[in-house]
Amino acid sequence: MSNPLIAELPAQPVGWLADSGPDEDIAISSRIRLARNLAGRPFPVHATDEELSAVADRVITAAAGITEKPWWRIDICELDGTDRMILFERRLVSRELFKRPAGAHLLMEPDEQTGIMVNEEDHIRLQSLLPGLQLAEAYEKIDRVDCVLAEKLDIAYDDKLGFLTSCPTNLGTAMRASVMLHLPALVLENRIAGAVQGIGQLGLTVRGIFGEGSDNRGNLFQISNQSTLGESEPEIIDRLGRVIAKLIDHEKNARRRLLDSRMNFLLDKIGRAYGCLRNAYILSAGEALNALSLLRLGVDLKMFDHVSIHTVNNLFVRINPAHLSKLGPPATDPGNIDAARATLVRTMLREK
Amino acid sequence: MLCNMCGKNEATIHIEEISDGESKTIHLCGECMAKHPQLGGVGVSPFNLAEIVFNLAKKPSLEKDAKKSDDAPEAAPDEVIVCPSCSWTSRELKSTGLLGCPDCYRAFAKVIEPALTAMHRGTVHTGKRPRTIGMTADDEFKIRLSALRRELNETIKAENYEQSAIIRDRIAELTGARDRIAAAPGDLS
Repeated sequence: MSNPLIAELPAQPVGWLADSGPDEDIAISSRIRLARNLAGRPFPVHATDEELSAVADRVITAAAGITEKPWWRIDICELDGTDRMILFERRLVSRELFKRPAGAHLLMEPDEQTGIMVNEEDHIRLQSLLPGLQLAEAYEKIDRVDCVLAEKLDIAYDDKLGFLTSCPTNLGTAMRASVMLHLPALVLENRIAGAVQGIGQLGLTVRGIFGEGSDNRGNLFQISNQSTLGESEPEIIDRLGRVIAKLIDHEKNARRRLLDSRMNFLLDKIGRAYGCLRNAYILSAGEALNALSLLRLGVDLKMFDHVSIHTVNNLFVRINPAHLSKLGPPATDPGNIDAARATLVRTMLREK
Repeated sequence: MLCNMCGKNEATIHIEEISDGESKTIHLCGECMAKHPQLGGVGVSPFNLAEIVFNLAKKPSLEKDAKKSDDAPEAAPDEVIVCPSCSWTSRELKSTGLLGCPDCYRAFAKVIEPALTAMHRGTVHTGKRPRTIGMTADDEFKIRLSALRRELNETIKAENYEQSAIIRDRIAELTGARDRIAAAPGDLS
């Protein structure tokens, strides 16, 4: 069954990709996630269907009326596979949420920037996802929702351990702050491994675009805090923010170096990527994302006056399988999805 | 260029390794890079940190057991603790890295507390408490100040001195306001 709310989503731009935002050419988006649980109830991973539904009812009731516009409420268990993947590709839900046999819900604001996953690994996962580098803003946004929920619900909390979570790696603030960075110049310069190693030593984690278990296609890296206990929320955000600022500097310097001393190498990489996108008839998602990353770099560096960042951002979401199947040219058989993707990309790049 | 590891996918990551003064470049595709975090750790941790930490904590005793197992009888298995609220066991905790319910933290404190130092930067929560409305004034001050300082660095680097001056004024205003509050006498009553 297809959900009518989700039918509207694929055609609209995602909330976390702005055509201009603070530092958005390198810092694509900023996200804050908070995990919360109801006291005295089993965590979702091994709760019964009845327990899952009971938790969902309580959370959904408590969340009503918090935001200016009413939440969009989506019952994940009722969705077909494509609709689930639409939500996933828009970074509104995680795969873990799909594992629940009952009581899995997404509440989200229509602008897609604030959401609540109900019965993910924890009873409540609050998320705020903003374009560009806006960690403090994202925190303020989600903190407001969290405060109202805490008024209405008995939240599992311990004075020493902080918020009690299904996995002890999330104890304390139960906050994961992350920034998605686009670092094509550092990758082109072979400097990325060193940068990434440095991040690890600072107690931060690096992941691919879709989080745990995903690779770093498209030169996209998600940097987040590893530790949640022992530091306050502002301290975590501040520490992450400082490392992000450094990485943005590194990337800017790498871009400058490439422009100054390896112009032909840079032009060749970007030109070939653009040629591939404009002319290919078969494009896998990975190949398309890698080429789009270089095209984006070219657009950032003002090398294209006929390709807008808007088009690149749009393609960035629409080349993903579920979006492609909803919006792209019809694929005659499943094997043809790569051909449909290539057609979509060629068409969109011809348009202004 | 094809990936050096699988030989199938196009290599998108090129890592320069310098060992014994010799430089060697490895070409990898995203997938293989993801599978080999030791090559720089890019991408992924498909494993559960908690699971690893609990298993590491257990390992030394296993090795000890193995050494003396020649003639000694098999060591007694670890004591299994059961959570009175949800009947989750310490064995399940160790195998999944997850807890059963909030009360498990009390039931399994002996197992969890030693593992916390490996997972976190501290062992005591210092952040937000439920039912405090919003952030404390001090937290908010710190967040705003750090955002402004970052903004200032950016504008200075971009040689946008006009904007830099504006931000500097805002920082002065912010810190000034706090100092005035802190210094205001008679507020303690």
